[in-house]
Amino acid sequence: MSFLQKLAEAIKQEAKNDISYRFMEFCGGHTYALAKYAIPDILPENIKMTHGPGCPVCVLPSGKIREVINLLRENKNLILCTYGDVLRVPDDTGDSLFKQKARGADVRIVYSCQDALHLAADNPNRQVVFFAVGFETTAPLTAAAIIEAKTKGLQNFFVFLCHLQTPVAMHAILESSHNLSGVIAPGHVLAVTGYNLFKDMPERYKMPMVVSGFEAEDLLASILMLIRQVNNGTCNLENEYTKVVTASGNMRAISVLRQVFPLFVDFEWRGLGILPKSAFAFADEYKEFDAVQRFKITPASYTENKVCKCPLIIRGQAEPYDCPLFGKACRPESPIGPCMVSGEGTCGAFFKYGRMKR
Amino acid sequence: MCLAVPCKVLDILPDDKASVDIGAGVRKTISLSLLKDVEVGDYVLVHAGYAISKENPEIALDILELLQEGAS
Amino acid sequence: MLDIKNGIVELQMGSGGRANDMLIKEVFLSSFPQNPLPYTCNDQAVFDNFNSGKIAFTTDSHIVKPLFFRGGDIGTLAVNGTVNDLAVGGAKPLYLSASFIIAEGFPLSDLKKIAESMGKAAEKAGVFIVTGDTKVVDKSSCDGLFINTAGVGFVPKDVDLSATKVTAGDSVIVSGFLGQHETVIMSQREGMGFDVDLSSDCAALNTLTADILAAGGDKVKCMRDLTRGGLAAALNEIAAVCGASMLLDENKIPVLPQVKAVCDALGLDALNFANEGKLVVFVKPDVKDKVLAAMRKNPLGENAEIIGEVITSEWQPEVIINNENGGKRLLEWAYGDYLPRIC
Repeated sequence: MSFLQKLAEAIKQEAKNDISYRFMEFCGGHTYALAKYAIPDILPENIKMTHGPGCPVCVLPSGKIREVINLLRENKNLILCTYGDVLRVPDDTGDSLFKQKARGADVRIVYSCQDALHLAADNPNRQVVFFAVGFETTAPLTAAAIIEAKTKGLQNFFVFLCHLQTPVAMHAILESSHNLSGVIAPGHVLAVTGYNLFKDMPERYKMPMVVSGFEAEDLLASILMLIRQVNNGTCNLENEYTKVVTASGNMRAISVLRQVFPLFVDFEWRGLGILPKSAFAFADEYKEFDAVQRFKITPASYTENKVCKCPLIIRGQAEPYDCPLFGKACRPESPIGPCMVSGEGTCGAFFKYGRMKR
Repeated sequence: MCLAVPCKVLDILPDDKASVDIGAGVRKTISLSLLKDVEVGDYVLVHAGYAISKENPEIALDILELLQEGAS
Repeated sequence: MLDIKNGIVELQMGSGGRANDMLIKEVFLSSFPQNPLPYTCNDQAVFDNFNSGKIAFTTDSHIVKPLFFRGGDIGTLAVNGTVNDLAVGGAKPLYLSASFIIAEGFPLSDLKKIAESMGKAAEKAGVFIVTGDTKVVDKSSCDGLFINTAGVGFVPKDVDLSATKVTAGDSVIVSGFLGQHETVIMSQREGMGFDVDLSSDCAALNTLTADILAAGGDKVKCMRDLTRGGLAAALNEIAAVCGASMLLDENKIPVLPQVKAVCDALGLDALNFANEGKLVVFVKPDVKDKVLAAMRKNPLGENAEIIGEVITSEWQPEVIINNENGGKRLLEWAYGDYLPRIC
């Protein structure tokens, strides 16, 4: 028997028939891995996996997309750089950066913010704006790029900052009513910040938590560890991803992050509402790189689609199939809500992989 | 994407960069500006062009031990 | 005489006059295999009727960027792509047309290289380029070169292939490693920045299709070359046409470790990646081993694998993969290209 089979067997043996286990993960990478490895297919019926707001693209409100689209409309010479998934996120009117690109806006997908920096260096006569999306795993990269831009004296590189804090979202979910029995904690966020970031949570919320890696074995091992905690009535933070995650994390990355983004501002998360001090903000010393300041970007008003169930799905309170739009009007090629755009979003992952379990 | 892949460091390059093997001998140049004390032969997690953490397979969770805990 | 070594394409070379004539003769005709038809300098190519079979006819346009890549160039793609579209229909490819839209200022030396690639590819595939067209446009209308090729071939009377003939029970066989071409193009695009020691798999498949038909006869139902959209696009398209689903075994689908490494690093699926020298074939199950053996004897099919079978659809036609862990996932038809201008 392979480790995978042994783990699956152990889960079957140790999960108690009279307990309904409901575990939530808070990381887009985990959502994607669970679907890719078809983990729910291997689990017994009384273990349910739900997905929290772990996809940074999925929690972007339509207003942010509208603001960037307006920026492009008012600055025809701008180069806008984004990570791939952001391109097709629709705003509440159905417009997107992808459609703007088709209409002639210079929108480019980059693998790394380093590419955006190079574009700025190679095109001194044009302004380059990097649409920075992501949690604590990604924010240090943007910070490093800004430090490099300052060192090199780049005058044409700016960042539209939408980096968010993971714990704030977790508090929002765990403080509201829920029926969760355990949490799979985000492996790459905690690789950067250290698992001490979450050390008070299990006690505070009476919730067992396990930091998990991203392979099928990691996820099954983490689920087994959670089942054992539930069975024993313990509420601890355990680390399954020991080969990467430590208590204090990557000190250099944290230091770079704090140097450029030491402040926090309120941010409206799609599906969660305004969460105070949940988004990273520029230190004064680096404000010259803030696209909002440079281009005088004002908040855009918007009205999210009322039928779309992304807000509930992000909270783990609904499944994709509960949404009347899923698979019909809302499909990967024509996403209405952000959860469908990305393979990390619950609906996107489920559409591609999860439909087998109907 | 939260996507980070384990890569083997092949060469340390100037300007805080490194050449890494992303798998099967495919090479990529990435930034080390977020990670200290990286040496050739180390395994690092690479996220969007930057190394964000070391990977230490020798201290990976012992699955056998985990399984045996349940048996006891 | 044109200065092929240092000269550039000028607007008048596309306007039908003497400059155009020089371009055609010195760059193209001198690079292509000798046209075997009786008349060669008319507005059309004329050849004999195929009165004991059927005619296959196809067209393809090529916009790949960069124009030159490891394993080929836009010229090799232009010839092999059209040859393959004919071959997978059971046709013996015969004659191609080639139309060029060239940007003003394009280096003649590059154009000659591309023409020579086309000539070599045509010779290897046993086809002739017998008619064509050249146009030159200003740089803002085209950033280099676009090529369209159309082709005709002869399909014997007893060969009758179509996606509509695929039914539950049929075996699905692929001819080799998937995702190679797109990986190579991607590695040569700016901003992707990875070094992979692979070449495009661009190749003419007509000898392979001939071997498949010789081994399987009328038990070969359908063949498809796997270009843009990869295996996922081809299988979903066929499933939609024939109304049946497919069940594949992930362990059997051949993907090179380097291609897998790139896909894992970028969060992509090699089964959506373009190929330029691979095909999928559907056969009745009683000939699957014989056809597989015949494919493996041909260098173009040496890594062929039986990857699954066609099954009755429970819900709607879809392509399902049994993954390594015993779970199932759907192989979705991607809406568009991850990377534009891949072919």
